[in-house]
Amino acid sequence: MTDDTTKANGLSRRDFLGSTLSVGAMGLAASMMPGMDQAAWAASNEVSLYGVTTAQLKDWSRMTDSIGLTMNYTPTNADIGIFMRDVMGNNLGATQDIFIFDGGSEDLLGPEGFYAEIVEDHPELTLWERTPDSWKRANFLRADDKQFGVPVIGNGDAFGYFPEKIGASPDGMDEVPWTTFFEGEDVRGRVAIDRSWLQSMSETANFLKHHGRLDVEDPADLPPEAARTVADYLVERKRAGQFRTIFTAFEEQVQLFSNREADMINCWEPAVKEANNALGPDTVIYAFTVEGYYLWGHGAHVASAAMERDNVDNIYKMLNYFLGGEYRAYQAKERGYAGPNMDLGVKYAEENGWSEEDIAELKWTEEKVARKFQKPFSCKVVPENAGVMEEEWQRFLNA
Amino acid sequence: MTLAAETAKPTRRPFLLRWIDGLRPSSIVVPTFLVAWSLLVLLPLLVIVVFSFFSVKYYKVVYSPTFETWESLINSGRWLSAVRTLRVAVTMTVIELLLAFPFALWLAKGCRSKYVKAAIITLLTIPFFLDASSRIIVWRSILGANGAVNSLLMWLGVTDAPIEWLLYSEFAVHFGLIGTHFPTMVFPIFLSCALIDNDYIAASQDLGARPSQTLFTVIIPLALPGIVAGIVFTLVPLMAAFVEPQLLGGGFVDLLGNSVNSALQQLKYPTAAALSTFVVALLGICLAVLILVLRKRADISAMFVAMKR
Amino acid sequence: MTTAPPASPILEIIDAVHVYDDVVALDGVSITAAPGEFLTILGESGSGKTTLLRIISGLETPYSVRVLRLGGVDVRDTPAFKRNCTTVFQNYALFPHMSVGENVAYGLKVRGTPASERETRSREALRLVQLEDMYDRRVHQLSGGQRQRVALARALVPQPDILLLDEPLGALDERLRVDMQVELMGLQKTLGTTFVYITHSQEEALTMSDRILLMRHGKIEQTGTPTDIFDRPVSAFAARFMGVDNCFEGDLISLDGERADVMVGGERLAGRWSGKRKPKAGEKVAIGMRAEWLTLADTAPDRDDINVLPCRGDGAIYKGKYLDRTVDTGVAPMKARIWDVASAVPEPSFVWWKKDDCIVMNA
Repeated sequence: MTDDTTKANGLSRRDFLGSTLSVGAMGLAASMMPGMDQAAWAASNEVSLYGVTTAQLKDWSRMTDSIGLTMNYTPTNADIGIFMRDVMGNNLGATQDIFIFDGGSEDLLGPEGFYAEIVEDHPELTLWERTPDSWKRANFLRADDKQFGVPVIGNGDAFGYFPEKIGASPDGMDEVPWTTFFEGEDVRGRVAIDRSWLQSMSETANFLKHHGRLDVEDPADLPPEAARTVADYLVERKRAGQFRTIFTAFEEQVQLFSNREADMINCWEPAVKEANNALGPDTVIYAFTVEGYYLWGHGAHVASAAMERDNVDNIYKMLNYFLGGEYRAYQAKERGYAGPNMDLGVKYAEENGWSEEDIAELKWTEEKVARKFQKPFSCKVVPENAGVMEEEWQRFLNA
Repeated sequence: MTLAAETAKPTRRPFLLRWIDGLRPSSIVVPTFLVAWSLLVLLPLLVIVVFSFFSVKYYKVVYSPTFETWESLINSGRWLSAVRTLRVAVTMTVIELLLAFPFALWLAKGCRSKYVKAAIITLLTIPFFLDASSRIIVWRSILGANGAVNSLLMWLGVTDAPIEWLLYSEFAVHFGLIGTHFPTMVFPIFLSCALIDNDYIAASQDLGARPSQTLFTVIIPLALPGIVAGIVFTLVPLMAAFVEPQLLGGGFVDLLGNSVNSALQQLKYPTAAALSTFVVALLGICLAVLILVLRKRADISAMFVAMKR
Repeated sequence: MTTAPPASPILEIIDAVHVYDDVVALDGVSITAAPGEFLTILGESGSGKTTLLRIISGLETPYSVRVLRLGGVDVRDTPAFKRNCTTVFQNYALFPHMSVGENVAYGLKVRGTPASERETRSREALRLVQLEDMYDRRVHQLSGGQRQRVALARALVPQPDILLLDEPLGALDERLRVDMQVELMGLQKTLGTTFVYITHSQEEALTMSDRILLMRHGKIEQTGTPTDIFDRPVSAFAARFMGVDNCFEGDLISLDGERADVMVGGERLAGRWSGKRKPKAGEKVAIGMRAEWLTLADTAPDRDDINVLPCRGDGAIYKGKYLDRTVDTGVAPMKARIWDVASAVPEPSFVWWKKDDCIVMNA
């Protein structure tokens, strides 16, 4: 551990220099970290967490009531560059105990020594044992055969569609192939594709691989030739007029559906929920697909530096909370995301007198995610070939 | 400047005032300005140029000189976004100029009512207060396939099917940019038009010049400093246009800002630096051309002398 | 010299009315000018003289006007650039972005005159105002007097039927002004162009004009030749404007032809009637006399063609060429101008002046 820390510190200093220079050069304002101070972690019951907004509960006081910890949550968006810069360049481990990000960041930050290995037999981590391997041993929590994260929430991303436009069953149980998304004549010129190459290129690669049109080991991490093939294919589809737009933001996904500007979007599941609020229940379906899903999960990671401090027990208590029923039930209710130990969530709901409807919804969430996780493909937020992929994606954008 | 001698003077005024009085533009302000300017502007620019010759491996900058970044800039067609941006920016600057000049001239010379004038100037500042995204996003529901414009056109029977190019096209991006960059063109032109003595215009008419002759031989030359300022203040921010191409271009109009942002998200500082270098070079060429063209037409420096009157 | 305009006037305005933001600038003004006439519009600032000029040039459209003819042509709907008259502006309004030559040639350039002819005529015009060397100078390199001449040359080059001059000498210093007056008059005689000249200086008006139009509050107070106006002001206002130093109000006793008897402060004074509308006996009238016509004396001469008032010396202002003496009469303080300072009475007891040098006007 000491070895790791030294490495982290040495690296962070050098990289700090580099990143400060770059930041200065780019004219980027250094991200502000309100409410962050050195004494924060010293407070006995407070755990400092820096993570993506989606992992947040609307009300953390429930947690304080249950396990006696207070949450000091600093939210960040899902921008991997900013996250990396903050963790590596700005040395956030000095003040933050836990990081929550799209699973995959440990591929880089684990071996580099910014994340501590999870102590699986820590006495506070009581639920680890019962957590199914499909969640806890997922790729996006491990690197170099070491466990660097605890699963928090997850889902399998596909696309949303209007069933009547492609003649699919309105109950949403059909498996719709990605072929329709990329090549379907019914939706030609009515498909919106995510501007995030991480998602769109990986999904395209998975689709091509499934149909034997691309030979690649991991569709989420494309070596140069594979990236070129995928970009060529996308350029070809773009020129063929398959895409109505290349969207960027969550609200755009919602608007595209609710204005009926697009018929098929590789959006996030909550966008479908939002759109249906406006269009009526089940107007838009979030697809089960033939080829597979962009399976993702948020991982909670412990800052290496935090392991040297005196609140490790509290940190593990909080990690354990993320595996428990209360967090699970509220995450599913508030955002429709699943996670490990869904059964504990259902149990929590039943014990706390939730309505039949809510409980049924929880069960369906579990069932749905389980079904998706049977398909192979999963995401990677820091693919080794990120540079190449981003560059190839520019070719698609500029075509 | 000897402080002791200053303090010994019988009339003692606050030090700061004396210090300010003692300043001579040539001896202090100019060198200070030049030094500060080189530190604040040239140095970062230099760092950017240097950075463009590094590369990035797995989210970390490799500090050894290479042409890799520049090569990838060309291979990925990323440089196209810079050229496209320049094209859009120049087109928009011309459009804004054509729209803003008559408007600014009317505001400065034609609009008699003080209240109308104040109201318009206030209205023009609104884009500065509103968040760009919320302002632009409204256009999506207006220009969309099922938006207000298409609904109206179809209801009127002008067209059978919705006009798709209204949204997610270069047209939409240009359209969206108009409002954002109008004030930066209007204000300098308005100011320089307002500064033109009415007697010059009267004298021109009086000497027999038709309105068009007055416009081209008196008003435009005298408003030229404002026009040049308007062009610069409009062209340069247009190069960084980000929200409009993203929200209205539907990803089909990939401009520089979006491309740089994408690179930065992956911590590809060298790529962003190379793009920036490329653009600064392009802009430099543009401005040089502008200056050369104007120098042929009129002597700007002499005009500022003349404007003092 | 006659006050009546000739048969075919080059300029004719009848009943012009103009209003700026609820302020009446012109209130039913009618004027005419004969070809080749030097017409001066005289008045205080705010009297509407510049407005009148701008209506002639077309830079201002009058609120209403019955007749507006230039050279016999109705120009009520003709824009400024189509009217054949040019203006020398008060602040010259020389285009700062053009050279002197370009400024002067401007009127020809906009009419499409070929460049070579333009230059010849511009240089000629500059020679006329003695600035032939300044052709290539920038405007901001010129002195005030030079700018004034350039403005004049620029306005003359298009050969206008009427040249309008808006207080062109106002910004010049005293000596230059006197020189320019002479030059302008010479130029006008040479070219034979009709000049409509605005000034607030009665001295300028008297020196240069063929005819003077005195304006007051947007109306014409009096029109006439310089001598007319100088000798026969129609009102107290006109009299004061024409430099009648002593001007009082009185009650008319009788008016018999030219002879008017007026009661002022208990004294009976007689003078010659120069007013417009003949008043009835008992009406208020104004009586005025120039300081230079008053004589101060120890004893009152025994003549019946003079007015005499007893007085007491009060103060004196030495003016170099003459001495201005104020005396206190029972009527009002009066000013007498004494040219022969050496033989002046030190402590006068009487002031007297000829009845013919005393004018009686409408109040």
